[in-house]
Amino acid sequence: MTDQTFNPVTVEEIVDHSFKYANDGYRLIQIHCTKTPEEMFIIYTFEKLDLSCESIKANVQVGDTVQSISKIFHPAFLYENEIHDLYGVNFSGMIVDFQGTLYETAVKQAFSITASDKE
Amino acid sequence: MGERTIIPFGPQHPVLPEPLHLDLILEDEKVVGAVPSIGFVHRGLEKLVEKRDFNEMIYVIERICGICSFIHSQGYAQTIEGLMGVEIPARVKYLRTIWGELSRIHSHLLWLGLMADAYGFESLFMHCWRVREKILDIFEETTGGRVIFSVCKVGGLWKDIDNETLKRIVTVLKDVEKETKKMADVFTRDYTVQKRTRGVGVITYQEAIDLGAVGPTLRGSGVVQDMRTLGYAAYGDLVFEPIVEKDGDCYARTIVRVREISQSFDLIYQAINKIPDGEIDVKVKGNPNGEFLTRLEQPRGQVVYYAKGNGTKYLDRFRVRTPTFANIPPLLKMLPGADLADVPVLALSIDPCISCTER
Amino acid sequence: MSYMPKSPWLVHYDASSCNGCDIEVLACLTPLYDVERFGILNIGNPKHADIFVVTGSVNEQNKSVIKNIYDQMPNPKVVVAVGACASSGGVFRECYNVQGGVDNVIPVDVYVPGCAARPEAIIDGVVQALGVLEGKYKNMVKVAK
Repeated sequence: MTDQTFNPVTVEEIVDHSFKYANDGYRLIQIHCTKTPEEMFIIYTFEKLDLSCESIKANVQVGDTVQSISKIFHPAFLYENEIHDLYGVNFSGMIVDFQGTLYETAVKQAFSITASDKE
Repeated sequence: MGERTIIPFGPQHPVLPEPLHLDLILEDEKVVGAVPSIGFVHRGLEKLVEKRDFNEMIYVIERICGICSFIHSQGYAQTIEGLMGVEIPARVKYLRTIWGELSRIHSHLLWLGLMADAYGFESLFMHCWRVREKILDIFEETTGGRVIFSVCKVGGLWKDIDNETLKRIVTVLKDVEKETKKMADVFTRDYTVQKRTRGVGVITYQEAIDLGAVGPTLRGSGVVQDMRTLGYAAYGDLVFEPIVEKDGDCYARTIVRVREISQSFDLIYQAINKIPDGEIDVKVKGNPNGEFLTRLEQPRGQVVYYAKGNGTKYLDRFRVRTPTFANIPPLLKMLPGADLADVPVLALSIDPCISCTER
Repeated sequence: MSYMPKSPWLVHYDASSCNGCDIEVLACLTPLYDVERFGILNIGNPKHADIFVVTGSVNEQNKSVIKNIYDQMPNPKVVVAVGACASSGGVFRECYNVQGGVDNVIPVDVYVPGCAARPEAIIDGVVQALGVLEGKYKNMVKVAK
């Protein structure tokens, strides 16, 4: 099983890797972001129809701009808008840009504040 | 060409119990575009991992959604067990499969009812929900709850089902199966039902893959993919084939679900025949550390869980990618070209679960 | 006024519920519980409704929707908060986007307990709401005189 492989890449390489996965017949199943007191990273998971699955992981910071992969994988725009609204990571070149209105939350970019930041 | 009108659909709309909002762009009666806006149900519950320890968190996770609640708790337990390297007893795997498949039957019956209601077939809606109550009675008898069970825990289950009860469940299910078959005939053969669903909202094979569709929406377009074939829980020991239909329209998606109900009955019978005796939990020692990704099949399709632990009893992150989130792009693809009157049928055909989507 | 409690119409809105209470509200309409035999109708139009059934807690985005539906309903009107989330925020109380129960936005007359609230409890809550509705109506008549 390759479910648990999270290949480290840099932010600039994300688009190249996505192209490679698209050419190999993978499709995007999720993008998510994680912020801990020590680090913040973004994970893209790709899956083939035979259910083999791989992920790439890149370190990002709040306020960084990442190139969108929504032109390669159409559904990416929803995940990217979500991460923009909840984590404050910007994406350039999204096919549909909600301009931060996908989620209207009481706390802006709530997920970018970790429990230890509050203390 | 008529003038363009924008009609807001939802959030409070009679066809959906849940607040889905779409801005429909219309030319006369034809939809030419749709813009979704979500967030009406956003609670931010993934953030609660900072306040609830990993054992308590399961009760929050199963309240992501009241329909696939059991499968959410199963997925969470499986993820944390994977993270901590806990091997669960075989009986637990079988019981989780049985409850999971019962949840699938209850979810599909609920959806069939709502779908019937969406095209105005109210008596069929009532029948689906009447039959569904018998499944809920089984839940109530075995877990104490009708929609939220709280039986799953990290490392096993809180409750066992004794073998006598399992036998009785089989007899109840045989009755339910008969009644479901009668209704299935209406969904598959009735002229009026076909009139509303055939050729409506077609998603081709390639579109379904490219747009990231999952579950019955994907299988309705002829793509063979079912997470249960990964063999998690007891699925590795049971015999089944993913159910696939070719047409990719609302009718095909309905048929996939109708056939999946009979498949679930079969899976439950198989599981009850094979279920081994034994413990229903193991002691879980220590705290989760590292990261883990799990994929499961919910009634609505594939769900992805990701957990990251840091060696304390609080997780750093728990992420859920629910099936409806993945099915929104296919829905947006179906809408252009449809009649305004067909929008409720189309919106329901992906089996939207908004509380899952927005968490 | 004796006619109104014989056929109260209700409008249901899912604030940010997990669906559990919503499907139980819907289950009340279906053959096993069948509240329609009491003349209770679930309708989509707030302007037709006497009773507002809310499930789920209030968040940033839906508080205006709840307020809007409430304002559209004609007087006298009664609000029933169904389930733990609608009553107090429930298990999600500490979420950053949850403000708590529905009573943060609109006045609530009847609280129905449970997570998820059982259909019997919901029917009981609606029946209690009828009493409140009757009382409010009498009060309105008194003020008008």
